[in-house]
Amino acid sequence: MSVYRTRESEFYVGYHEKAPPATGRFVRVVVGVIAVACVVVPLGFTAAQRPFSTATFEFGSLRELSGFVTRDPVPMLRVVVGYAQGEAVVVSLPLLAPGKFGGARVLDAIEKMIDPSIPPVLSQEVATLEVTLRGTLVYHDGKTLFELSEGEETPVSVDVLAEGALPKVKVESLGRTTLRGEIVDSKCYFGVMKPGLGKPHRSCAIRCISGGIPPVLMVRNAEGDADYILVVGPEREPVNERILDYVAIPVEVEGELERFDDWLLIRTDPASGITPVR
Amino acid sequence: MSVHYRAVQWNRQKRIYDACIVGGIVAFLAVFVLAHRALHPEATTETVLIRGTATLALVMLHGILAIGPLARIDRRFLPFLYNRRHLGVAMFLVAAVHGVLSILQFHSLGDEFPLVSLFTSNTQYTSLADFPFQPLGFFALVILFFMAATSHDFWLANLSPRVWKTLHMFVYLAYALVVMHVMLGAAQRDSSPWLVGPLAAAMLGLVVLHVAAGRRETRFDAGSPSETPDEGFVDLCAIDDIPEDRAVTACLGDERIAVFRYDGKISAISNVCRHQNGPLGEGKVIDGCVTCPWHGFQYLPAEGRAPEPFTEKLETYDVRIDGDRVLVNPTPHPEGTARPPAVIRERDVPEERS
Ligand code: HEM
Ligand code: FES
Repeated sequence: MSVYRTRESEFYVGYHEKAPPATGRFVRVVVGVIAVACVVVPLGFTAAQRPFSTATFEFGSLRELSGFVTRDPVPMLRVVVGYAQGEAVVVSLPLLAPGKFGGARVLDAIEKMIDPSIPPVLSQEVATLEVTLRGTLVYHDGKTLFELSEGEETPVSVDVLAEGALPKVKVESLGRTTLRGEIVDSKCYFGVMKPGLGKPHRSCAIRCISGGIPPVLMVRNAEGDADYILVVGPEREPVNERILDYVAIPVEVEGELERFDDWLLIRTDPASGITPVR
Repeated sequence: MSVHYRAVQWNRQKRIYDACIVGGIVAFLAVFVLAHRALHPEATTETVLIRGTATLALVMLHGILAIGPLARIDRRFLPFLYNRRHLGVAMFLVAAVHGVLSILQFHSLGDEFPLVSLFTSNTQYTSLADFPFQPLGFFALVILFFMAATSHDFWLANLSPRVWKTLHMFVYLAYALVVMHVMLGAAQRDSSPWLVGPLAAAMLGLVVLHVAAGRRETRFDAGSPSETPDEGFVDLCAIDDIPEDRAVTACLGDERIAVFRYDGKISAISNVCRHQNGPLGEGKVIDGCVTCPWHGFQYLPAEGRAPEPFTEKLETYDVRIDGDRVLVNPTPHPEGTARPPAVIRERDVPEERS
């Protein structure tokens, strides 16, 4: 005959003041083990984390930068950092807005704010203005971006420059090419989020690029160093909405490679020029 | 237990339990954050908090799922079971911090409403490798929310224990969703075996525990008495097989019956506690009441019901004593039917025991 019977002499009742002695001892041992796990598990997990990038977002520290604004190929502030052989050396900072937006909306707002006596300043014509803007730096691996603070705060000063006072944009065609890499959103990758690339970050990158943040193709060479190439359309127009399906996965991009001041860019038609690689 | 509901009925052990939960959560997160400060100073605070709460919630979920089978295998784990719902609510809160921070970090301040973006940013729903893993976490969190919200006995009574129990079985679905959430998300970021390895080991551990606990049950079901019934009565065991104030449990027909010996008497009641189906046969008679081993609900064995003012009722069974044998009729009386216990006379029990 086999029926089931409880053999323990102790009986635990949760609402009694104390657990029976042997049960209490056992529970204390298990709680001790759990306490050790509360230290060992997070330590082990931390030690096993992949290293984080050294990208920087100077959150909370506002700077004022002066330069020339252009919207071509993407909204940028061109800052003259010096002169070499009588020519201006320009560093171009792609412009960002707070949140998951590109800098275009801040430029739009600035244009609306500007003194009406200044000639209409739409798109490329802003380039004839020297402006001082306020914002926060984002930088990594030799590239710097500028998150403009929104609202009245942003433009500090706007001056109309005489024709010819502008440093010329240096554009150099590097020919038709195919590059393999990952399209990242420049704001997160260059500092705002870690990791700012790869699968876990994918939906965020899609949101950011959809909001106008310049997409950048990151290409790693055999040594592990990266090149960063702005991705634009055949006429250098934004293609953000058309590349969302190719973000944060390995892709091949085929198009015209150009040097544009200190940035590389690739002019491609996403429909035919970008293919996922598996 | 069932007359009126207080938010939580506090007692000393519950307070200790909750203090341990809070202490554990604080310690885990503190170590996680400080270790990152030391080893990964470049990590952003948001990422550290998102990952810390995620890892902690995952660890807690494993603990919660392990307590049930552990308590069946070794009854000394019962104190962990007693307030498991507190652990469940705490785990939900930790997971919710992870989920909310993730939605803020990855979806807010953009050109789409965050909860819409959660589902529409990554649209590769037909791909396995690129599958949007965040909605999986979202659905797991929704399930955990419903379980945390209904964890109180108020809901248990109002939903009926069966519905409640079914609802709480969804924790396994939530677990499966979380595993997919990790495998299709973070695991694809870290190719290192340090995330997938421990997770796989923990999954395997849970399966082994559940199988081991389940095998104890089936062995017990298969080994139930098959003696020829005598006027419907089945010879169950000797009187002395039942320790004083304890029970033997038998599976007769479809019913699990707990047969208690107490106070010179023997009564048989359903083995299934009306609270959360706890095994009453593993309980004990305290102050004349059968006390459930899980959360301590009490029943008068001869009445088939909880003592006033409580209202839970159990099926009762007829018991007979024949010589030193205990016979039980497996036909149940409706819940709450009082049945006179079989009285043990002096000569029913052999003098000498070996
Ligand atoms: C709305 C619900 C949720 C969202 C939006 C969400 C989002 C995310 C995201 C974006 C990551 C990747 C983080 C990174 O790589 O830094 C992640 C990782 C993770 N999530 Fe969730 N999650 C949710 C719910 C949950 C729930 C309910 C759990 C389980 C308890 C969970 C457990 C985890 C774990 C264990 C990881 C891996 C930790 C790591 O990053 O190493 N998540 N989640
Ligand atoms: S199952 Fe909770 S007291 Fe019996």
